[in-house]
Amino acid sequence: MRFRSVILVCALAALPALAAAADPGRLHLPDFSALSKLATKSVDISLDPSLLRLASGVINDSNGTNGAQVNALIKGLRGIYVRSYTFDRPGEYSEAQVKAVEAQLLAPGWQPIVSTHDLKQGNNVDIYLRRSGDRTDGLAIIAAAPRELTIVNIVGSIDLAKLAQLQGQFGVPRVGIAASGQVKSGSAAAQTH
Amino acid sequence: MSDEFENALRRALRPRDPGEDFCARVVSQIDSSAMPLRPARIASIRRRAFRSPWLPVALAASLIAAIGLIQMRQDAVDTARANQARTELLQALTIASRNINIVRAAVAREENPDS
Repeated sequence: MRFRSVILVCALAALPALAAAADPGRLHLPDFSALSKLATKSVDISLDPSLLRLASGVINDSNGTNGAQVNALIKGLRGIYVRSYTFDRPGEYSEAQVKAVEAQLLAPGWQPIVSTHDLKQGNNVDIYLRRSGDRTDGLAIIAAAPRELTIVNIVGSIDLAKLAQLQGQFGVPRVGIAASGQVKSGSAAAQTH
Repeated sequence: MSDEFENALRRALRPRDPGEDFCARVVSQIDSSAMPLRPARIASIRRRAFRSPWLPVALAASLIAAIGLIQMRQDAVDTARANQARTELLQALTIASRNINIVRAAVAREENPDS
């Protein structure tokens, strides 16, 4: 009887690990509730497969949204998780909080594909992809600026080019990119991997 | 004439002793007539109610109305959840797209610094 209890406890403890193994492209985002209290604007989005299906059912071509394009993009996705915080003052979040996410991206399968470092303004954007053979399992974006921290984790097969095309389609204007395709802030050092 | 009438009325209405067995007689009347009829009446009413052709119709209508209300409520909750999920999805894609475009622009700039 006691042995059975031990097995049951072990099985329950192993559930998160099993879930992670089932979704290798998913990151375990830390609890940023303390940051959301400090932030002037915070975005906390967790869309699991059931919510993605639900959203997909009501996306249409209204309000400037290309429903077909969005539905095609999210077709192969198993989750979208976003944490974004904007602060009044610089230095509200710690480097350790970013490192906690970056440490997970050192795991096998994850590859940094591109990163930009804006030396003047201190804006850093790093993009990682997780691949299994030819298939993409996940995408991670870490955008760290003095007054803003954004972490995006898209689980599943995602087309980066199509995702980039979506900007400016939801009533949100293109931000930070001039017509020539330059970063307005300037002095950005980009590294491609 | 009127005196005779008054006297006759007085005689007719004079108080009379009902007798010692009055209470017993009243109780025996209640026991023997009224009480045994009550269950029978109730049973009769029940029989009539259950035999009514409107009862199944009323029950079915109530059931359909209840199911309809539950379904409507569930649909409203589902629609609200779907709209919330849609808003969050578009917001998430916008944030992701914006950051990818920032990187793309930086890469383009790095590759073609003169442009």
